[in-house]
Amino acid sequence: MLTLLSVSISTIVLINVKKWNWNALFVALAMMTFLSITTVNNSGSASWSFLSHSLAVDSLSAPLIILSCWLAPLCFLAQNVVKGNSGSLQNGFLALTCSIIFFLLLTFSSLNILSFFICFEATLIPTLVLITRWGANVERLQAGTYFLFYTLFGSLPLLVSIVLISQTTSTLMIPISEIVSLQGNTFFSINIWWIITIVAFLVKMPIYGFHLWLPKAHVEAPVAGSMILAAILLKLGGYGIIRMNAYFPDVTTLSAILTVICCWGALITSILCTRQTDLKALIAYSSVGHMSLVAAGTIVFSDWTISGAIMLMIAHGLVSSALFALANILYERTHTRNIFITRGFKMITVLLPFWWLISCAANLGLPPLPNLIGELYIITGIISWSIFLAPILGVATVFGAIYSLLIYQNTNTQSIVLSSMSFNEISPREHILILFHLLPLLSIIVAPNSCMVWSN
Amino acid sequence: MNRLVNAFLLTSLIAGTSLVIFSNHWFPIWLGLELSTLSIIPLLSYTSQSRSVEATLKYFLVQAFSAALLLNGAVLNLWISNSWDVNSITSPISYFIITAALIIKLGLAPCHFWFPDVLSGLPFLSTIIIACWQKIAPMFLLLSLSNLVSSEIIIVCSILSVLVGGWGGLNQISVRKILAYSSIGHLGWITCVAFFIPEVSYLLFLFYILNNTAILLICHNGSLYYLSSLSKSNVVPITAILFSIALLSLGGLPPLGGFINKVIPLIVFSLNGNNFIIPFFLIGSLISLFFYIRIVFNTSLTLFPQHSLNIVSFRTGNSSLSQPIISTLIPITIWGLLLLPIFFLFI
Repeated sequence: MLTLLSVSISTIVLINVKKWNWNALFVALAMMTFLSITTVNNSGSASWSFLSHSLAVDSLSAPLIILSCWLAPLCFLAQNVVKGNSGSLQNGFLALTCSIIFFLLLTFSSLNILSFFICFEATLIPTLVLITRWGANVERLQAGTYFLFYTLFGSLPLLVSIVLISQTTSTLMIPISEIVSLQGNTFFSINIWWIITIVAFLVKMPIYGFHLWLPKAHVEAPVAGSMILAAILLKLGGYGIIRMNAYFPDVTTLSAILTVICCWGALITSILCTRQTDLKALIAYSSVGHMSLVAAGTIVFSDWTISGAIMLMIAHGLVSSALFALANILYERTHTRNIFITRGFKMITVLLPFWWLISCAANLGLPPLPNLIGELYIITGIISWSIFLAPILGVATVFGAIYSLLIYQNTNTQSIVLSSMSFNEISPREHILILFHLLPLLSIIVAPNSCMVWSN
Repeated sequence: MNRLVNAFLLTSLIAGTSLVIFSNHWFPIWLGLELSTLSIIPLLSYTSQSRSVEATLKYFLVQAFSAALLLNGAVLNLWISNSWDVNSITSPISYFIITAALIIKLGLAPCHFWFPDVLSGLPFLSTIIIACWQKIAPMFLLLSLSNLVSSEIIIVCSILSVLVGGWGGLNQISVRKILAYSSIGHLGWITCVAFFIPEVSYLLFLFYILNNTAILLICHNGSLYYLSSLSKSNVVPITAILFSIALLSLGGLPPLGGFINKVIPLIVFSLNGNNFIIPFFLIGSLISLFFYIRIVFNTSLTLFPQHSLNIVSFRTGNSSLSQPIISTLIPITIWGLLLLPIFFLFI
């Protein structure tokens, strides 16, 4: 674990390399990824490995750490336009992305809830700077403000809750959180306590009521920011809910209400996706739908739903990031994200429709890709919790299939707009970018236990 | 101004504040407060712009009034408890009068109305004296008094200060007024801790003073008087980034140092079971974060079409005297989170 962190800090040194800073950073982060794969253990239960004083890895954090390390070099591969900036601005971009990755590693491996909170918030400032400084439209200021204030509105009550937990249980260690769980409080206070703890993560995920920041942030962010945001920063919410749920074993009323809200949110968001006009906003809303499903799974908190939630988080991270990279490949050439204009590219690109097909198929939940495994586990768990959510989740899945196929058909098989016929070739960099997003999906099919183990 | 006169006035300013901090008798405390007020009046009004003279006059009136009120409270305490000693405040009426005087001096709500007005009339170096140094003496008095008599007036005033600091700064375009309202808000956080554990307030106050001084020095270097001049500023480019970091630290975002100004009061409030007042502080800090973000956006996160002469002039900021001071203070705001374990010595 310390090796991993020291490599991620050494990337700061590599930022100042004269001509090859992007490539040197890519290599360093790829090395970090190889180091991080050793964190997975197949022991089959929620045990802590790589233990040190304040950092440890368990079966929930290991796949997320690997995911954040995996996406770091891919972000640098995707972001080509920044190379037109001056040297110091390029270095700033690299520094910000590396600092996000560093704080993410600390978040997922921290054993102390307060340090988890500090690193959770620490990812906000670099992302805010990425969105507002390297975004392209004038709306990026409002997008940055929405992003910051939605997240902080949720996380300040979380800070209060952490302080209260430390007063009541006199410890902030995560491994013993089930032992010191908060029982015996009044009905009113434990529900309020749970709500102020969970809201931060629900806003971060986001679920349907708190989701307004996500389409804005995704549309205005540069592609590296979008990729990191979609892939990992949303998963911080799921990770947080799973960790904090151990403290609240007996909130039943509010968790029931919230599960239903999350399921309805998944349905509504899937329907909304069919009417979006901006390609990136479409993918952002699909993120909201998937993460609402993950949120519902984590709130129900049974073995199957948690396993499905972890699997869906990893799979959604990879697929959503691949979709944003694909959208950016088209955006760099046509400078528009409007789905009525970016269409019909099967005619003029060679291998790209294949990547679009795999990504959209993974997004809609095609077997045997791990998105299906996650969704299936979550839906099964939620239906066994209450049968009345079955039609809602079923229709949500169907609409998920509808809009994913809409994305594929609109961008590839529609009739092409004549003005986009002049088109640069898809470079090998971009092919490798999408390939490495989709290769881990195949490997997860073979070894689903690496992303799924969670048993209290 | 003549260097000798400048040195004399600054020396008497420091002497006045030290007199307040180090004495046990009420009379030298009043003397020190009046001495610090009188000694900076020539410093503030030397520029003879009418706006500075007006600000100086308002400042003098407010401070003289509150110092007289303080002396009145001290004499009342002498009559009740037969002692000039600072530690002999036992009766609520004398405590109330003295605390009211200190609240007016500090600029806490509901007595905050003079503070943005005075600050927006003065150049930035004088702003540092008013906003940072002049708060030391009344804050020391307030903290030593709350060791003796704990009265809820401090909590009421601090909640009002936090809310006023948040809402007041929203509609401002003058950077000095924005920093004035942020000052009011921060003093609200600091003085509310004084009700519970006054020793911790010293730590928070010290951190706030360092952070605020760094920001005001950078503003002085770049002459950032209004929001419109933030994007045209000719500061050293790294200073723009450090300015943004210092402002975000003032806003209380982790992992920067200003976070201790939020987390330590929250721990102190919940230690004493006083969870009811926490939502007011959170609301105030969220609203004040908005105008910090506005300044950060205008400074370094948006690039307006710039005249090329502006880009060339970044070398001129290097040779000023304030540059090493800024370079020392900014790392404190970045690494300030490491000061958090000091807090645990006090509980």
